[in-house]
Amino acid sequence: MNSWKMKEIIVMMMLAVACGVLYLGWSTLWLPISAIFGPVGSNWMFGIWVIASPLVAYIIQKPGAALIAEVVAAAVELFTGSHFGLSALLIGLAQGIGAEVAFALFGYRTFNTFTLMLSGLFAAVGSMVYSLIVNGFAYYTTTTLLLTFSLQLLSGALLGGLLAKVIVDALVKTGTLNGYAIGRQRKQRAA
Amino acid sequence: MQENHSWFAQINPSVKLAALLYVMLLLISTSRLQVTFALLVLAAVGVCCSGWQLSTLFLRLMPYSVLFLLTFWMMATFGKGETELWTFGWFRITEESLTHAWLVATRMLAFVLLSVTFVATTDATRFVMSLIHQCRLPVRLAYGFLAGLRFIPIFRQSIRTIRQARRVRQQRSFWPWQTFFDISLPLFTTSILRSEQIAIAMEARQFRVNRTYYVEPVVTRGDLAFLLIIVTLATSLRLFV
Amino acid sequence: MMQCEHLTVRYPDQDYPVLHDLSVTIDKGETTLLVGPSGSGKTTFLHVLAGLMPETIEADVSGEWTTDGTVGMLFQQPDDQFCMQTVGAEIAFSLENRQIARGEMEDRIRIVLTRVGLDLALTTPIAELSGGMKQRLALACVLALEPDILLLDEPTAQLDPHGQQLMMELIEELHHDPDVTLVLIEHQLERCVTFADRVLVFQTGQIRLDGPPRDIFSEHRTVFLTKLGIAIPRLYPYTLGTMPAEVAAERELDRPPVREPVSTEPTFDLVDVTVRYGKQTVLERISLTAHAGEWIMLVGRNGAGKSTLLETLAKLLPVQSGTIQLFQTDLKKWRDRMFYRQVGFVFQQPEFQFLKQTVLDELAISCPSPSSGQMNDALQHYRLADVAAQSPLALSLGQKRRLSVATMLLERKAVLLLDEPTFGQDAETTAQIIDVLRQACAAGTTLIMVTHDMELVYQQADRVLVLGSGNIQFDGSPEELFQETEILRDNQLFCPVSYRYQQQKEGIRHAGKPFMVRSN
Repeated sequence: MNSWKMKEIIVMMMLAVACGVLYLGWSTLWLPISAIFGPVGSNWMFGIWVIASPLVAYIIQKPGAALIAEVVAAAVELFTGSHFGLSALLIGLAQGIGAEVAFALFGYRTFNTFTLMLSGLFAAVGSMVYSLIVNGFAYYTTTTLLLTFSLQLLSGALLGGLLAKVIVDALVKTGTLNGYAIGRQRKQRAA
Repeated sequence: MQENHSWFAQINPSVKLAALLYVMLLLISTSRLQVTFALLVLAAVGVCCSGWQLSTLFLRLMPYSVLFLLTFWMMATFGKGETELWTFGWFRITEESLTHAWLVATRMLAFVLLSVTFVATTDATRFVMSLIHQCRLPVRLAYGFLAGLRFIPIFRQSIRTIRQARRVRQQRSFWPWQTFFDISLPLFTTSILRSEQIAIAMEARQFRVNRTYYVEPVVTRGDLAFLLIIVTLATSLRLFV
Repeated sequence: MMQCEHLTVRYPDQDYPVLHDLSVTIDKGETTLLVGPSGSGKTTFLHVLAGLMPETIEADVSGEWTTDGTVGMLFQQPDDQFCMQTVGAEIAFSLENRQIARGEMEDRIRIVLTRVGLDLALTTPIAELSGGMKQRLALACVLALEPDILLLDEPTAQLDPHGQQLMMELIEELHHDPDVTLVLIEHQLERCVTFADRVLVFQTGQIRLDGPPRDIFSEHRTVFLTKLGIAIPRLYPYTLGTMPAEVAAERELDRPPVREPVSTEPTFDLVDVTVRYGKQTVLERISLTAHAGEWIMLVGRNGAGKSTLLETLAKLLPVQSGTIQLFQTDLKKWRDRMFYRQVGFVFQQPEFQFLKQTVLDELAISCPSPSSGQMNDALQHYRLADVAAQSPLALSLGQKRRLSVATMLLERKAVLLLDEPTFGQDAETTAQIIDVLRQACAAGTTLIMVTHDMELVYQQADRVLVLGSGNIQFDGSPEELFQETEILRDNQLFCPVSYRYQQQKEGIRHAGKPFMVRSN
């Protein structure tokens, strides 16, 4: 933790909390859809819930950023007094570990569209492992299960990884990220 | 999260969390409905000790009965099984899926009750301080997290304003992720700028890792006794029911 | 004592240094006021003195600087200086950093709280405090560091007038403490020049003038300072009673232009409107008729329901009872698409209302059929041509504000609602915004604007409404309001200086005494 600047810690926390607050809104959208269309018809929305990891990791580019960001975003649910708090924390942990693995595989040196999408994908894998063990997904029919999982993987890569890339690239254009790894990387490339 | 004056609020937050997580682990480890139900009863007892008035508790938990039904419904209609009981469109309920639905929904309800117990009796600051002292959470992360926590209501207000502005300017997006992008961009920009200010302000106040603590939770004998009782009770329920 | 020798600072993403070869010595116990246009390096200078460079804020720093003793710094934004949830824990954060034993903390916390005039339980959540109280809490946190040197970076810029006044009183008190060295940046010069020992005038990273306020603001420098964009304190070195008329005219203490009678054609018409937020009644039985071309200003304390009224008029909040009509048609009957072509809303934080990735696109979606000529005119008119291709979120504070006003005025609106559009803006941007709003008003747009700036009310408003505890407590012209001392006091409002000057002048004229010219 010593190599982290204070502003990197705070920006990670603030963005993760902001993601957490956005997750809450996304959940209210998800509930009615999932009741009607079941796990298959609603899981295309899954990716948003793992966006914190690729987003923050892409900005800070340090080990641990992806994991901490997702856990903090999940913790927002706990700290707003939601009764799902503890389960949310566990899911967040599973997703965060998945997302972190993607960056670790590349030695925390490669942060591009591919690794970001991979991170969203692995976060989905983490989430699935949790769902299989805890939420009894193993009891779903094989078709439902396979469809759900492939949708989650796809959504994790697109709505998690790719959307995070698009958002951060737009943020870089505002100049607010000049003092962080992503901003410096851009400048070096331009020079 | 805010603590109240119940007996549960006195327990060290980290110890309390460990005890509750242990019960959750036991719930995950079993697929027997009786055991799950016994642990649900234990969680319910915990909620009753968490200082809520029964009427408030009832009102607060009402929405979760809907979720209970939802979880139940999803597993019952989309779960696998041979003995068909009822079909309609893409919904198909079987005897096995019904059993599994009971199990998963009961487990979810137990999780909710355990969460209520924790959330209702734990102060956020004391919890984070306890994580520093009992779980060796790095100090800078902990204070950074607390700084971020202050912004939950502020961000909610920001999102509300952004949505109002989109309405006034009659801007609608067809795809939900487009909306997500449009809302998150200004939200993230302001939070990055403010992060920088907060970091500067904290360091200007000589923030350092070597420090004293205004709130310093300790683990007492009572906490250990509590942990022991919960672990013993839950384990025996798991093994002998 | 603080000393800088040949101090040069350059930020990594900039070509020119923000401070250039600066040498200055500030003595112990001295109170120094820093003035200068924005971007002249004042804040950077404070950051260096606070020891924040180059570790916390990355920059290339050369030269030497020394500070004797502990340094504390108070920042502009009250909300962005805290990291804890409650008042007690926040002050304790300062004490923890100094490794004060826990047993001593509570007493020390109470001492600093008393010192800043806050009588609060230590468990009070910071979120419940007003902006002014937050800033005083932030000062308490800095005082808990027991600083020998106190650096204040525009501590009142984000406060309402009541909060500003309390803050200035505290600063003046600190000035009288012989052990505290004060260095402050403050745009409210009026009060500061009365007690500051020394003024440093910054321009492009250098100190251009250095001396006691009496020298710096002496009359032969007026032209030089005005050119730098530094507002001359409007009374100094005179008082309200001794200001000569010709100086007063130059410093805009004159009577506002005579108001033209506005049309009688109604736009908004409210009858007995009640709005609740949860269980709390925010607006109670409000009745009001606004006319075309009328400039209405809403004033009142924080939380009096001013923003709620704007949101209700903008069809963003439901009305519990009563009726609101726009052009004799009930608000509920207006379709959104048509309604928002008639009614615009300028939000307090401009960044939250931008929708596009470039300034040009942002302007283009604001008019029904954008032509390139019209776009160019708009860019020139709002002085945004240089930044047309940039993201609206990358703009400076003033540019963001101008863009947000532009997006609402490109298409003529029947009513424009504005939530403190001049708040925290510098004098130049404020003047520009007022100018375009005046034009819109003259073209027949009704302006309904929330503000804390009573000078603006006096100079521009056709009509002023005082909102207090959910009711309209006053509805009339600014001059009428300024005579209602009780209403002013109850709502924490102040008469602007230029109005008081007018009163004084009238009084003296009636008494038949000549004006005295006396510098003090």
